[in-house]
Amino acid sequence: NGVAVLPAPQNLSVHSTNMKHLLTWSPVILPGEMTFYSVEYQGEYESLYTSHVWIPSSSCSPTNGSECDITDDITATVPYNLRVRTTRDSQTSAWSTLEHPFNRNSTVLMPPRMEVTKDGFHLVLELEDLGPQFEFLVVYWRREPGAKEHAKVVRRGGIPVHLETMDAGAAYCVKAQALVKTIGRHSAFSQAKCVEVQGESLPL
Amino acid sequence: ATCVSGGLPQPTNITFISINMQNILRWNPPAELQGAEVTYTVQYFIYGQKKWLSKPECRNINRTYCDLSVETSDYEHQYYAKVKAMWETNCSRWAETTRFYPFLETQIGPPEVALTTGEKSISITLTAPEKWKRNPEDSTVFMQQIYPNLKYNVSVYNTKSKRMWSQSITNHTLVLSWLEPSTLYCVQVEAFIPGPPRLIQPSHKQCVSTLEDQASALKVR
Amino acid sequence: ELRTLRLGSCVITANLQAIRNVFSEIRDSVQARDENIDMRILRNTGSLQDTKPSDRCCLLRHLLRLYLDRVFKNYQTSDHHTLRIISNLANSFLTIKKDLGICHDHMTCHCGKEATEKYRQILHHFEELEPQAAVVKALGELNILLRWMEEM
Repeated sequence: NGVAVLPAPQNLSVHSTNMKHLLTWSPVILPGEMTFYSVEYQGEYESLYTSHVWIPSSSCSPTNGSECDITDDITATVPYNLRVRTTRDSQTSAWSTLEHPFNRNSTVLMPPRMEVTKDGFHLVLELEDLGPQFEFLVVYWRREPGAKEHAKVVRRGGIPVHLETMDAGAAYCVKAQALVKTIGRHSAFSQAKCVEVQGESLPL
Repeated sequence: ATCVSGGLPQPTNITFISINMQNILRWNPPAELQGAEVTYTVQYFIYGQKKWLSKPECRNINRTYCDLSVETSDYEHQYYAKVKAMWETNCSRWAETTRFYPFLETQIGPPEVALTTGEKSISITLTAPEKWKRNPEDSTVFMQQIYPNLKYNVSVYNTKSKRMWSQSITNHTLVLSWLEPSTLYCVQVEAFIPGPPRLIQPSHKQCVSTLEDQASALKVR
Repeated sequence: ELRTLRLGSCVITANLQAIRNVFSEIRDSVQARDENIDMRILRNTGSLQDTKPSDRCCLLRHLLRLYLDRVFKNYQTSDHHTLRIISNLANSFLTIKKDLGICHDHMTCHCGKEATEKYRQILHHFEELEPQAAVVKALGELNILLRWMEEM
């Protein structure tokens, strides 16, 4: 009846970057057939209102690797309990539970990758598509002493967005930071990237 | 007219097709009765109220659609509709829609797009999509009045450089300046509302060419 | 897109759009289980937006407590996807309720007669139904509650 005879996974930890959350653990080495694992989670709601309820992870119940992408399970900005056990046929191990609950507001936010290009006099920016949780604060300026910075919020990555109509003979620079409103945080700014427009300055 | 209920298979794929709050119920004929002289009767229900209501213009009809825009015009309410098929003395059981919530589910039609070109510019003027109205002389309500967070995504394609870029705007005019002269640009616009996924209806792609560069034209003469 | 909810002198933000997106994944299947379509728990007469601002926080707090205490935890399903969606909704509502709790601690979540009476009526409609039928109907009406919240 599935009495816990298998060793339980150890060293559970969560690595989270740009709202992608990966639960990892030390693999259980057993002779013979392949070892499987089951992952379950519990949000703060479950732990407060239905503490007996644990929800099977959407992508790792079961899994045979020693990691699990729990991004689609961690869907609110509250602490989540996570647990893993080893399974083989009808045998299971005890549950190993993450030592501290994980909250997605602790994710590491990296500056977005971006491509700055031009189409004639038009400054065009394409930002990395980081998913629906992300918006981007884009700052751009004309590269000259005392230049004024302009800012624009771009709602989505993955599509080329028009930033500015540029003056001939001028150079323009762009930097961007990722914003995640659901956790109220933003990344550092990316390195600035610049483009130059051919042609001499236009008559006024 | 009384009929033997369940003697016919039900109509299938019964659903509301809603664009700018024009709500048309559509369905497919029962599978095995394509071509037969089947007629249909429609009823609708306002969620939370007491009984199914009939629409006389959609009783014993042989078309497979029924415009329920008037009956479902309060877009804050939620509705059901059902259809049954009749043939000779037999009729099907009712086939019912899921709960229909016009405010959440109506598609936003594309804006009207007018383009005027200059030597190095294209002016884009948008006319906001209009909400369906009962009578043509009724006053016009724009979808933006119902959805204040409605935005437009303007996509511009430079056929010479083969580059595409887009801009999100909320007002109704956009001037693309400092374009390349004598160049064909294609423009397409879609209206969208941040929120649950809705089917999006982009405008037809319109392509216009910027005028010839006057300076080079003078040199040539 | 975060939405600012103005509940009298209690002002909070909430990601209603994300909650709507998530709910739209199970809306049809939940509503299909509601056999009492001639009944409505959240009626226009009790709506949040037609409640005077100073009573809105209290009414919303009551409504969230109803959903957290009696709806999310009692919705019976064996479908894991539905279970995950409900967990998402419940934890998102819990976040909003915690924000309202801060307003309550700062005495900006006053319960006046209007809020109390409107909630009493809503509870009455909820309790008129058999328990699981009430849970199914209330979850199916999440659209209405989100719409009320957006209108504030």
